[in-house]
Amino acid sequence: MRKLTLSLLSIASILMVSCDKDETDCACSPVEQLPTTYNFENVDHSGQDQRLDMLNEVVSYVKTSNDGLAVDENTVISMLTNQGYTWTKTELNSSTKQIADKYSDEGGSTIGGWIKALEQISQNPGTGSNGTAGLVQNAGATKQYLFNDKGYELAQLIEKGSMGALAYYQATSVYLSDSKMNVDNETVTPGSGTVMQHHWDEGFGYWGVLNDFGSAGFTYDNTADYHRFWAKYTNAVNEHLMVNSKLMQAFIKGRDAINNKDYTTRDAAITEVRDTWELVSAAMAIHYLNGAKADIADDALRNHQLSEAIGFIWSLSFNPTQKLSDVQINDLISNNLSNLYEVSVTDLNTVKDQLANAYHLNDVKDKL
Amino acid sequence: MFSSNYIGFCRKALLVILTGVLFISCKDENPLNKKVDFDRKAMLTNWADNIVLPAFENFDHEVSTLATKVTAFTTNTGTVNLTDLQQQFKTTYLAFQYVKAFEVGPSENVSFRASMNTYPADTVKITNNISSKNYNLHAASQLDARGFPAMDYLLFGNNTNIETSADAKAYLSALMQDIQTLTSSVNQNWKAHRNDFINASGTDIGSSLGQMVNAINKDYEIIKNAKIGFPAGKKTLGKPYPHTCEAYFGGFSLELAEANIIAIHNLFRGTYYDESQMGLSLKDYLIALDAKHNDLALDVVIDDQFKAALNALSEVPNPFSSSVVNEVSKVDAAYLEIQRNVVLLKTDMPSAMGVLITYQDNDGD
Repeated sequence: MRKLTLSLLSIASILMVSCDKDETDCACSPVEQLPTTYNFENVDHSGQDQRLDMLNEVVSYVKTSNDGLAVDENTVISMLTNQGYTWTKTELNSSTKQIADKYSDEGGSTIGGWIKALEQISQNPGTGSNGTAGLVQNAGATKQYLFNDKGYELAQLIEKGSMGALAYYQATSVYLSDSKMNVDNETVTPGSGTVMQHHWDEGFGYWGVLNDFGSAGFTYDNTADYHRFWAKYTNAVNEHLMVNSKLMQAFIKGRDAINNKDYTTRDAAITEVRDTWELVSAAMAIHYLNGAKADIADDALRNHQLSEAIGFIWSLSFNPTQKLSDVQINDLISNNLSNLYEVSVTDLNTVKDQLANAYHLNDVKDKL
Repeated sequence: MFSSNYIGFCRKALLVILTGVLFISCKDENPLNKKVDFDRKAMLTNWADNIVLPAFENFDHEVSTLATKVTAFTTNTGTVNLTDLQQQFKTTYLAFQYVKAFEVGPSENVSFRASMNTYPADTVKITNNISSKNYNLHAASQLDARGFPAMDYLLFGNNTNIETSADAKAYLSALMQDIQTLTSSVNQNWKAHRNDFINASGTDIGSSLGQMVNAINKDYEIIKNAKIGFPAGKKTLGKPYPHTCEAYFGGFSLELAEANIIAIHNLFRGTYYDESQMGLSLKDYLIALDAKHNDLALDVVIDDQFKAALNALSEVPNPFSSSVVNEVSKVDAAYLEIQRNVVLLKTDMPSAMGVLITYQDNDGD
């Protein structure tokens, strides 16, 4: 017994020495001890769930413009401000939450402009073409979209833009920022935890996933309620980037660190959440650029997919540690995607390559 | 598999060893444990004696003057005309801007700011109150039919004939009495609260420093959101809502906003209410703590940002309710400069001081 103890000790000391040399990040929490799901105590992100439910109805409504129906700006605003609108999902009618005051200021203003423009082009639209707003069908006449005179599908910009300026912005720029993290972490309120825990959970809530998302036993179900917004698109690029588990692990790591009052690890998790979420948006943009290249000759399919790509590129600006600057993001769009009827494959490749370089996606950029 | 366990064990072993080392090295970096040569009690004394109490005293005085004029106007016993009344109303409303940020202790007890200044006023509710002779304004549901915004509507709103309607005059008197009673009691209570305020000289949640840092942040965010942001459409997808301006009918929203920012700036700098000199304040505390923002002295960065906000605001033409529609770029610039100080005041400053922001800013849930 004594021999065994001694040898264990000597092994330990050897291991520690070698560890000292090789493992510069040894002070971090051991990764293998983290929970595999987000089943923590006192988690409440009902406010975020409600806002995603509201956004779901907003998106359904603005997309009726693709069926040739008129979209009313005041109706969309009454939905986004949750004032005087009757929701289809009846639970929302007693909700005190709203989306409009949670948009980033600049983002909300831009989205407001898209809504106004959508109202204008959705009144009795004719057939759309380069220079003329209107409805455009694909070659097989199975799909139809309402584009503005430059080929932008405003309903898509509103949806993808809201994912950026609301959910992604709130999570990465608001809840994970100093002003929401430099708060009390002592007093536990039953149901919502400490203020800091609650802020973290609210950030997590905007991702819109189940607690076991990305864990070993999890299977994605594209008929489930969560099949929308960021959960949907995280999963869409998961095959190549393993982001389901990566983003979940980052959120779990941060919540666990907050529970342990380990703020160094929490801050590392903040970086991981921001970087991984940003990667999803960039990868989705590349995915739709690839799609548009494949359908380059079909006005409807090309413009539709490029509108989605633009929404994801525009969203990149709402992360406080964004890899591309606002100017770079703006240039990417205005230099290459200013008129979707006139884009060339070279334009699309330029955007794709710049994104792939900035986000280190060169090895998967053609598979996304 | 093996390598993962190996690393895990290693990390745990090292953690035990490192904890002791880190503990010692961390001690000096904690702002709470930092030994600084700063007399917080002297700062609180300066706040109470030279800023807060004189501001309340002045406000109380202006309210009394306004009350005298309202009485003369409503009873036709003097030479006070509507223009005189409007003038004194504006002076009083401006004086209120110098006390509204100090929503702690006696002010907080009675929700002073919300009772005096919930806007936009509900003009339909006010009209109904006038015709039904309802002067009981204490219910929460009456907050937007009460205080300065209601009076702004009566004195400047086109649809209410305050000069001829006896019922409207009666409502004006009721509003005045409500404002005067509340102000007088808060002013007296602040005097009584002075010693307690000065003696709570720690940095914990209940300390006067902790409460004031929270209070001025909350008020500063009200400037950003309620005074500027809401009318400018910052929370409604860029669609402006001019009628939500403070003093919408009187049309002097921008002067009120400017006074409010100056009041908070003066507290930050320790400037006496009469602006005759400066005493110890947050600025000096930040200097003592050697607080930095991107390698620049934090006190200077905040001070400059107050000035930048006031400068940008001064570029916006009156009335603000028109500018939110017609001068969007100037309004946006002012909003941005005001906003820039939020993170400095709310994150950098409290963390340098070891003060926790505890108020709910309506951003949550």
